[in-house]
Amino acid sequence: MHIDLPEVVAEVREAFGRYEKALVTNDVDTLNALFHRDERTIRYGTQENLYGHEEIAAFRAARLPIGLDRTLCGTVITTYGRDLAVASTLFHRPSLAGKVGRQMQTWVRFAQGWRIVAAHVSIIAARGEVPGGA
Amino acid sequence: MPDAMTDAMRATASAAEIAEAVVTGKVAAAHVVEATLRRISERDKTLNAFTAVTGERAMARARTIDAERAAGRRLGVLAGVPFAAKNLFDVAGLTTLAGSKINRDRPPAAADATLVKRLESADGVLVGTLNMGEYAYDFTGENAHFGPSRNPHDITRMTGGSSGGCGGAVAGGLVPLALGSDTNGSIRVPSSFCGLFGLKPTYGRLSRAGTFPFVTSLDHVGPLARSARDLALAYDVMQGHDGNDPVCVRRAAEPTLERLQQGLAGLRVAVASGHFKRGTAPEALAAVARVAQALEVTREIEIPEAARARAAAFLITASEGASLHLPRLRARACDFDPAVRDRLLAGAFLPAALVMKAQKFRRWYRAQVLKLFESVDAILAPATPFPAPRIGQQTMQLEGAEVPLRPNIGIFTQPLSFVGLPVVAVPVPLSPLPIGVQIVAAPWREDVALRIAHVLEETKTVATPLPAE
Repeated sequence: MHIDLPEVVAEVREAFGRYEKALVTNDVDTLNALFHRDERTIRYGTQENLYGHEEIAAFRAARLPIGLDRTLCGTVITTYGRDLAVASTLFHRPSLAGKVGRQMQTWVRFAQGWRIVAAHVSIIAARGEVPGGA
Repeated sequence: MPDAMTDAMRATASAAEIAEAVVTGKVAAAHVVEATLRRISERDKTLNAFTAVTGERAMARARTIDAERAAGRRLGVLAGVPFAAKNLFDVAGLTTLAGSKINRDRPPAAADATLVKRLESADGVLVGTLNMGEYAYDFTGENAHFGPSRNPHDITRMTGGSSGGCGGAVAGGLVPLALGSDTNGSIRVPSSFCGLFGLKPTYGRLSRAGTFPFVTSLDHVGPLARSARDLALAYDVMQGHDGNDPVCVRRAAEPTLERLQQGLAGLRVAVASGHFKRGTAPEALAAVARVAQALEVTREIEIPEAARARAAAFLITASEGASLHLPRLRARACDFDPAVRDRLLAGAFLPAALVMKAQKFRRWYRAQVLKLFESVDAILAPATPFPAPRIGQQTMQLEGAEVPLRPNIGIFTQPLSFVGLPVVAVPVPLSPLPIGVQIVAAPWREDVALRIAHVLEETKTVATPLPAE
């Protein structure tokens, strides 16, 4: 098992970047494409538990597309072998003053490319994390 | 670029302007459709009005129109006019969703719905299908599967249902014309919340063939647009018998466009009193007062037992709707929007005696309402009791009491569609949000309601607030 093969990390970083861009521009089609289309795909959000790609897609469609901008910090992407990766990041939003968001994603490489199979987002009180860092 | 060309391609161009520019060769239909598709791809990420965009089909159709014009064919009155249809209208090659998850498993429609065909026969160009409340059992424009369509005047607010995508697409400048349906208010409510002109014709006037039904004894179809003229344009080409809808009447088309400018001469108009002045926010009353003042109408008229009519419409809707969906409720209850499922389940348990009473009352009420039109040609009433509420809002303060929001949205539309009267909803541009007024005419007199709407437009009493270009 090779951990953090540079070319694999680069691939996941690229997919992670596409996801981030789609998220802040409310590009729902890309967000839906990057989550694995399967009923076993799970996303625990800050307010909701979403089981299966359909529930996740319905959540995306219903989202109010304002105030989505955010700044990432403390992003860590670790790959295990060539087909599995975990991406963790903190995020700050103007609307979340004094708080910090946390996002963890499990990425798997399928024939069609890297897809998220599980994700968890939560928000806690900030403890000195620096917006825009790392 | 010549002015006429850019004018016809802007987001707020009317159907009439576009058709005129295309017919006279000032702009190509292909350019209009291209601009439309571009705007949809830019703006619909926010508005969520469309559930499918038929870009390839639309471009092919537009190029054909341009080629035929070049070959000397005289183009139709909707030449190059982009339009979209609520996703309960069949569109060949697309699955007719009717806002549901369950219908996704049905095969694609083999042919277009009659009204889609008729608009395209007049050289209109279908550009896509529109978001709606599940199975049309909705007044909000929200949808648990596809997300809510959003009001272009404030995207945190409802478009109104169930033709919510129609409201968002037309008010947001994505298309000048949309096809919607109205069982209890589903054209008039989005028209009110989004600030549009909407026509719910007389029951049986326009063909519903190729649409997914809800309550067949109450279902109507009709256009939403940004002017009375555009409503008339579209409505006139959609009229005419269709053997594929059993309730579509054998009645010669009665064109309205040529009568649009006849003014108010000879028309007797009154404001609905009683039920139509109760249980409402001040905006609805202010809007009716403004319209009445512009028309110099002081007379009031009572539509007898309108509250009971609304209740009876509820019962018949719940019962007929549930009977249509019973097999799906049995097999796939969990795949419904939870709120729709609960309404349908409740409908399935209604005692037959209540529904019979509602039907019996309907006959009596219809006779009473028809009698009113011996002394009046049109009646003014609010379209909704308040302007667009926030998406997700559950209750509303009305006259000092907290009431459930959804069932109150239709209190003024239901008593009118209940007996199939033609209604034009017109937008009074109050600030910050518009609100609609219903112009109600006698059966088959859509022309009267459209004439009055046009007068109000000319005096700037009503207008669609336009989105930023």
